[in-house]
Formats: sequence, C-alpha cells, structure tokens
Amino acid sequence: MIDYTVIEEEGNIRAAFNYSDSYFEIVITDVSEEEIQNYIKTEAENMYASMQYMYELENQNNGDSE
Amino acid sequence: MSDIPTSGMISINQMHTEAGGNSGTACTLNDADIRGLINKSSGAAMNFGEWYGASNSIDTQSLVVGTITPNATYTGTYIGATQSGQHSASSAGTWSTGSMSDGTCNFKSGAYYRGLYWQSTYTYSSDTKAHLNIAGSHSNSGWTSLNTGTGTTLTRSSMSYATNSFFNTTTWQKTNPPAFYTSSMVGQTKTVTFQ
Repeated sequence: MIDYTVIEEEGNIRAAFNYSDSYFEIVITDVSEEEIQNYIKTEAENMYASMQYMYELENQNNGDSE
Repeated sequence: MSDIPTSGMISINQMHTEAGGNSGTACTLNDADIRGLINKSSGAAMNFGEWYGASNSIDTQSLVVGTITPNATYTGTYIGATQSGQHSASSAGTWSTGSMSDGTCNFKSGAYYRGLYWQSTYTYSSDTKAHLNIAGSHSNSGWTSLNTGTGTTLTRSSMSYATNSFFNTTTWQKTNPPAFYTSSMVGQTKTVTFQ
C-alpha cells in the first residue's frame, strides 16, 4: 500500500508519494479508486526504469570510450 | 518563435495567440495575459515598438531529432534528444542521440537538459510516453507548457513528475501523447519553446 497525497492543478489530479528512493507525482485524472494503487505503482516503476536505463546507457558510453 | 513579428505590421490577433489565446477570439491590449508579454501593468502606456518580437517563451531550444533503443524489452525506442549522465547534475553530459542547444534551462537556473523525447510502447507498457528530463532535483513548477516544434503542446499540469537523487534527474512524463517526434524527422532541427 502506497501512501499518497492528492494535488489538483488546472483540472488535472496527481498522486504525490515517495517510492523506491524517488519522489513522484503521478497523474491520476480519470483513474478509479480501485485502480489507483496498481496504477501509481506501475507508472512509478516505469518512470524509474527509464531513469535507470539512461544511467546505464551513460555507464555503457563511458565503458565504450575508455 | 514568437507569433509577433520583429518588424512591420503587428495585429492584436498575433499578440493574442502569442499570449496563448485562440486566434480570432475577442481580446484587448489591456488583458493581463497580453500586456504581460511586455510586462505592462493595467492601464499603462505602451507603444508599438515595444511589441516587436515580444514572446511569452521562457526558454527556447533547438532540438535535433535522433533515435535510440536503449533496451527494446524494458524501455522501447526513444525519438527526440536524449542525454545520458544523469548521475552528475553539474556535468554537461553527452547526447546519446539528437541534441538540444543551448542545452541549459533558463527557468531552472541554467540546469542542463537531459532530453525531450517520445517513447514507444515496450514489453511492459502498452502506453507511449513523452519525456522531459532536466539534470538535478527541481520543483514541479516554473513552466506551464512546452511546444515541441512539431505542432504538439504538452502542459505541465497534465504530466507526471519525478525526482531521483541517485540519478540526479527531474523528469516529466505524459502518457499516450501525440507522436510529436517520428522516425521520419530524424536529422531535422525543431524549435522547442517553453511558456
């Protein structure tokens, strides 16, 4: 269970929470209460994966140049 | 690029659209969003010379479109500009594909852009994504929208946001945006503006 707070801005709603050493605000406009836990966890993991792969790409680039 | 020319005739409709209004709709020079383009208070005197080239852009970048597939299974393909080096906010980094210049963000104290790109679907996500990445940890504020230079405007309020101290990255994402950069654009230069 992820504890989150709700932020509303210009008609959009975000869930704000900390997860896996990161801070996230995930847009939850039109996401149902039943879906929200799985949704924010999946979205956070996808965002984290993108950051991680760019970091790994940098390491790969460094390795290629050395 | 501003809707308002740098010389010659200027129309109030050009001022209106530059301020974010809809073309052809009613407006006045004293509307807050319009006079705000040249930082005027309500009822203040103004002359036409002040309007030449006026822009509501808070930053403009020249983006060369590239494409890369960091990992087909876990991330899919990125189209746009992507910079690695997220682990060092003070580093200019290197562009893995495409580029953004001047590459620094006016509305985040000159922080380095790490990328603006469209992400394809991949094994673990049936959604496409838009990403804006900036080096360092920054608040979810300071800009309201970005124009990709290809007819798509992404609003900050409609995007998810994350910061991570390990990767030293702030990222905004939008789920299932229009395909604002495509493989047919690779090698082209697009003007990206932020409001």
